[in-house]
Amino acid sequence: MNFESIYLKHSSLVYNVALQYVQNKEDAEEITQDVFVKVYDKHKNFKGDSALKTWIYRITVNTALDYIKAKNRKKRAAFKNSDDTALEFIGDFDHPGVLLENKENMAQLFMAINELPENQRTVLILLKVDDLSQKEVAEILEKSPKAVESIFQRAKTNLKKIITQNEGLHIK
Amino acid sequence: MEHPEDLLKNIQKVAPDPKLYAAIKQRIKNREIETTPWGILKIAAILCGILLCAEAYIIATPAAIDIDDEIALVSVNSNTLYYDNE
Repeated sequence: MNFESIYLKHSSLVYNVALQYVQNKEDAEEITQDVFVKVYDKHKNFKGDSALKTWIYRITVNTALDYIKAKNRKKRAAFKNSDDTALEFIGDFDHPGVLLENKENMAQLFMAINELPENQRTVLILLKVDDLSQKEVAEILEKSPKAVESIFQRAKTNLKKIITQNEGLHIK
Repeated sequence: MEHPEDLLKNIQKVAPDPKLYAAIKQRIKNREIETTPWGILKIAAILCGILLCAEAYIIATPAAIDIDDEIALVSVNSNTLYYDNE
């Protein structure tokens, strides 16, 4: 399969996964570019379509997490007050896949998701937004389906805690 | 807030900008230009040129030497028999 066909088939997948991590168009496009530059280097080693898809998912997840880490380092260097950052996040939330009437709720939900540990965030996104099966997520993350289920349960519990805490902060 | 899982299911898939492919191809092209070791290639080409010239000189030089010079180059004892008794 040549590079252009791979791009046409998987670009939407990559872009949408990236969007769930960064929740804005510009950063998602940057991540998509990074992913396909990596895919270009190594795509010839892949023969099976299913292996290729799993591999592209894996690259996307890792690239998105690295991108966020790099961005957070820059932000920390600029030093900002945490309360301002929270308000700024909701104001700047620009996920093109979210309907306008859900925007505020979604912004708060993603603010909580972004506080989850990396593996919990990834499992939640792949299972609940991308609607993949536990088996598929297990293959992407190179873990057992049982491990994925356990991570998902922890993600749900932590998410509820974070949302409750954040709502408490808003009421104060 | 609505149940988080239900909210997440409402997220719609978005198509990437059609211009993104061109941007990716441009990035790949730029990176290939940056990573090609032009400096090393130039030095290697110059060295090859020098070696070729040297080889050509070595091959061409004996043909240009005069026959007299060639005789002069032959060792004194190579083909001549000397008799001590004479």
